[in-house]
Amino acid sequence: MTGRWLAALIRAYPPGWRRRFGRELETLVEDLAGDGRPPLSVALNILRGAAAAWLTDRRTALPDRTTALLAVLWSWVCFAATAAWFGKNAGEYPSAALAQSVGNTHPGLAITTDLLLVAGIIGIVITLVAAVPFAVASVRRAVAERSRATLALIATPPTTVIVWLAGLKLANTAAAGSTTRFVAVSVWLLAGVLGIAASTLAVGKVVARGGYPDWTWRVGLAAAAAVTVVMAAGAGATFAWGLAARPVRPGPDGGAIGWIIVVASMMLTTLRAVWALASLRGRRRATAA
Amino acid sequence: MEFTEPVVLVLSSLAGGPKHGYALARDIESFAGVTLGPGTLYGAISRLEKHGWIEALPTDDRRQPYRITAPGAAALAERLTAMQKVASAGLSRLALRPAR
Repeated sequence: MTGRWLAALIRAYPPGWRRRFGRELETLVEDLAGDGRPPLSVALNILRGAAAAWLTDRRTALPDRTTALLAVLWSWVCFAATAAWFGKNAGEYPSAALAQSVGNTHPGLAITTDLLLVAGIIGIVITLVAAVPFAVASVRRAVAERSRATLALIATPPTTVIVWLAGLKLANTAAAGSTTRFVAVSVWLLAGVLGIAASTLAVGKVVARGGYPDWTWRVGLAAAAAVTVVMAAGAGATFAWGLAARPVRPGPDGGAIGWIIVVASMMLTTLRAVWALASLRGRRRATAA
Repeated sequence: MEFTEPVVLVLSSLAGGPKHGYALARDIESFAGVTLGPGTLYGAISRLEKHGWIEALPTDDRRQPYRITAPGAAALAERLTAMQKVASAGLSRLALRPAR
């Protein structure tokens, strides 16, 4: 038990370092815990080692392409979820009819929401296109290795989409405006968020196994860079929307708090993606040096 | 590469044959009386592997064994010889020091 919580501290190490030595260090920590070493002293030593790894080993501290790619993927998923929620609200803001009339009066609002929608569509298309070579290579490998677990992970995202869309259709069959429908749709939306998270985790697990040809990584990283640009454009459009919508916002705060939260979330996820790609570039330079 | 104490201890232990992390920790404790924490031990192992002074051996076990490489053995021999000179000089000077 002690060994287990001590081993959890290994997560403090840089991802690249953990990938190479994490399992070995975990085994050692469990062995030493069995020897009766003072847990606090072992814990402090692990944390000191993690700090040293971050500070001294630039190459392993910086993310490799798997880590960078998955960081961009997670950032994009979080961004897209926020953008979808915001885009839906903005499109009906404060009602669909008023949104249209406000859009006519303030063309900037319509342009920014359209830009966000276009950015979202482009981002999704790029993601799907880049996913194809990874999916094909992963399926081939899983079939060759007869790995049912990998095949199940690969099947998770499409299965989730099919099940979720079918469930949504079912939830919408309840009488319009009824409590049953409201509850069913709300629960199903929450299930959708969990499904997105599960699918992203599954993709991450498959991709982390590596073994893809170089050109596949190049496609993946080019797509990651393109998606990051799309995120930056979407965040910019949402920011501009908030500024343009100021004069026509109803309510005491003009709905500014929600907008600020959305923009902050979009900017944070975009910066996370930029940071991942910039760190990968830094790692390549350090490796070349 | 900086010859820190853990680096010398790990190389000295591996000079006696391949070992995994836990065996290294126990061996170092027995011949040097030094208790290396897991973070310190793996800090040394990662640096040594990066410099090519030790290498991982293929294994199916969860415990990864390492062995010293030829450059690692040469570097250790050089370092221990230098340390021996310092130790001899220091000990002989201590012996010559007039008693107070």
